[in-house]
Amino acid sequence: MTIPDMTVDIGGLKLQNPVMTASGTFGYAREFEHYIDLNRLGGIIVKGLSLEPSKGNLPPRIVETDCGMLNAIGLENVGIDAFIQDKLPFLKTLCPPTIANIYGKTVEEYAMLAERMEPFDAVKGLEVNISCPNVKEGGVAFGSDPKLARDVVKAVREKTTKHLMVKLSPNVTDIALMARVAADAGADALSLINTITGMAVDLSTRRPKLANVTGGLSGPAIKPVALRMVWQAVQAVKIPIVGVGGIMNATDALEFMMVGATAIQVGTANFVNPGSTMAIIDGMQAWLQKEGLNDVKQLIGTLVTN
Amino acid sequence: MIAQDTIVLWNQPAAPGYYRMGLACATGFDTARPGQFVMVRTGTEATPLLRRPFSLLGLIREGDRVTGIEILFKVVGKGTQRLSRCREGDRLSVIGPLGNAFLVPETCRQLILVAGGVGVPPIRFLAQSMLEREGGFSRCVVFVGGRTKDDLVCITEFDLPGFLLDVSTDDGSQGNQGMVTRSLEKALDAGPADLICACGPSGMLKAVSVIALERGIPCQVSIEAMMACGMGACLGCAVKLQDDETRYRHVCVDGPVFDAHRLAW
Ligand SMILES: Cc1cc2nc3c(=O)[nH]c(=O)nc-3n(C[C@H](O)[C@H](O)[C@H](O)COP(=O)(O)OP(=O)(O)OC[C@H]3O[C@@H](n4cnc5c(N)ncnc54)[C@H](O)[C@@H]3O)c2cc1C
Ligand SMILES: Cc1cc2nc3c(=O)[nH]c(=O)nc-3n(C[C@H](O)[C@H](O)[C@H](O)COP(=O)(O)O)c2cc1C
Ligand code: FES
Repeated sequence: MTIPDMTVDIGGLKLQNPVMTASGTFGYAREFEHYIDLNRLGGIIVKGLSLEPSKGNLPPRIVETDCGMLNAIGLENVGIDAFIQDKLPFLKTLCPPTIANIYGKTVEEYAMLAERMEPFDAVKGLEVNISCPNVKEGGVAFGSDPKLARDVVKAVREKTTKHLMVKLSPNVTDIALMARVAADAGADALSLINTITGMAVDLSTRRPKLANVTGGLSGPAIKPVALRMVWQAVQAVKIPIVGVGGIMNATDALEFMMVGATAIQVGTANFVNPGSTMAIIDGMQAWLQKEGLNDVKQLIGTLVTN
Repeated sequence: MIAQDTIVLWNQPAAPGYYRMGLACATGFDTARPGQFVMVRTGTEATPLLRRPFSLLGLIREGDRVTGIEILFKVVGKGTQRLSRCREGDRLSVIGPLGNAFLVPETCRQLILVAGGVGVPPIRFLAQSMLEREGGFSRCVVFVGGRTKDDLVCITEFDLPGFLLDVSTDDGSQGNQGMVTRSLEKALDAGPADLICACGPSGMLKAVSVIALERGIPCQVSIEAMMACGMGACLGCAVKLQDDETRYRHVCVDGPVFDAHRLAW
């Protein structure tokens, strides 16, 4: 039997297959080089980067919950300069495109990050994380305010010629509105969802289980929410959607594509099984063959609802 | 380090609530050292989702080859409960060996080991690996402490040539009555030491570290943190050092063994 065509195009960026790694769950890729063949990935999205190194939140930063986990890492990262100097040379040697996930505390910071990344050809795209608080606007998350979201995406668009993916926050009332705002502001693709704000309590100590009190929920628990939001975003905009949230295996990944995602990202599953991405690629391919489909693109948006 | 399916060789109660498990590993552990740990997937369902970290208790050898590992765990929640129900022949996915190890310099002649409660595994592995050391030590004492005699797990394992075993329980049900740190202080008053290596509850480790610092003795401790990945990817296992306010270290890759005098307790 012929091997199905797994290539997809997420709005100007071609991937050899739809399976990417979700930011913050894959380090800077090198962490996984002993476990998987990095060159088989569809794309590599690195840990969220800021202008300056950031030390992140006080521990404890993670706690397991039913069918998922909460994290409050606080966007600890080496900073964009150390990324370019220490991490990029290795990423450059790999075939899959490197996508830099960026976040700022102000619109200007986002713009500066995009500008700073522009000369580095090894970075094929930017993923803009808008799920963080805007310090100038009293801590409102960029991703939950349409105007702030538009400002950020526009500012980044002006500074970059790279592929621009905007990562939407699920902590909003109307995801379709946020999707339209990001698309209209110049995004080439949208990725969703980021983690859902949550909380866990230790009854015996009367304390929150995370030092930060609240954290972001990820893993199988959020898959139904992610699927629903991807579905709504697909209806709302014409640009490609990248599905993220609770994808643990090939079945999950295929469901997201059936709902309309052009590609997917694997997050928490990387912790559970560092080989998850490989198993997902193989499993998707096997399913397509079994179904007699010779191109993964034939699956996108084929959900039957009537 | 690699991820592999291992086969349970044995899983035996070692004390009330404690189990000692042997796992056959096809490969990967030939160079594993005391202090290193593994991440074990306790089942295949979505809960418990994440792997659980366990220190190596020792290696299983056949001739020159390492054919497996041993861990020792206390049942404290869902994951360890599941592990406790594993039987011979079951399969468990294991990643390891992970993290750094205790480092006993060649010049060390007087070594003190301290294990509290579930801190026994890496200390037992360390004690055992020290037997192979040429020239040996002039003094080697292992202090083991627990709340009651039921928390003294695998202490017969410290019945090693050249090692002196000193046992304490909080309630006096076995050995000296009181904290293990009291016995440690007494011993240090009686004679010097070149290095202290310890593992156990963080309160005990802190006390040991203070005792060592007061006497100017180097001290290495194996510490715990909540972990999601065990391989430096999630940045969940943060720990702060005294002399570096600018960033956190990560227990899974920079540890679990740290210079006790550098930790911001
Ligand atoms: C490097 C390292 C080595 C360890 N070695 C051993 C060992 O050799 N033997 C052993 O019995 N235990 C060891 N632990 C602790 C062990 O990992 C936890 O007891 C275990 O993960 C609990 O899982 P659970 O699902 O049974 O409990 P859960 O239901 O997850 O939690 C029960 C309780 O255990 C605590 N806990 C959960 N995860 C951890 C963790 N990663 N570290 C510390 N406390 C935790 C929780 O805060 C909670 O109070 C080690 C931990 C680390 C970080
Ligand atoms: C420990 C951890 C760290 C994360 N860090 C980032 C980050 O730096 N930037 C970002 O945009 N998303 C981050 N995320 C969100 C993931 O990329 C992903 O959107 C989310 O976890 C949902 O997918 P999952 O259920 O497959 O994990 C992080 C998630 C986790 C669990
Ligand atoms: S446990 Fe994930 S970085 Fe240490």
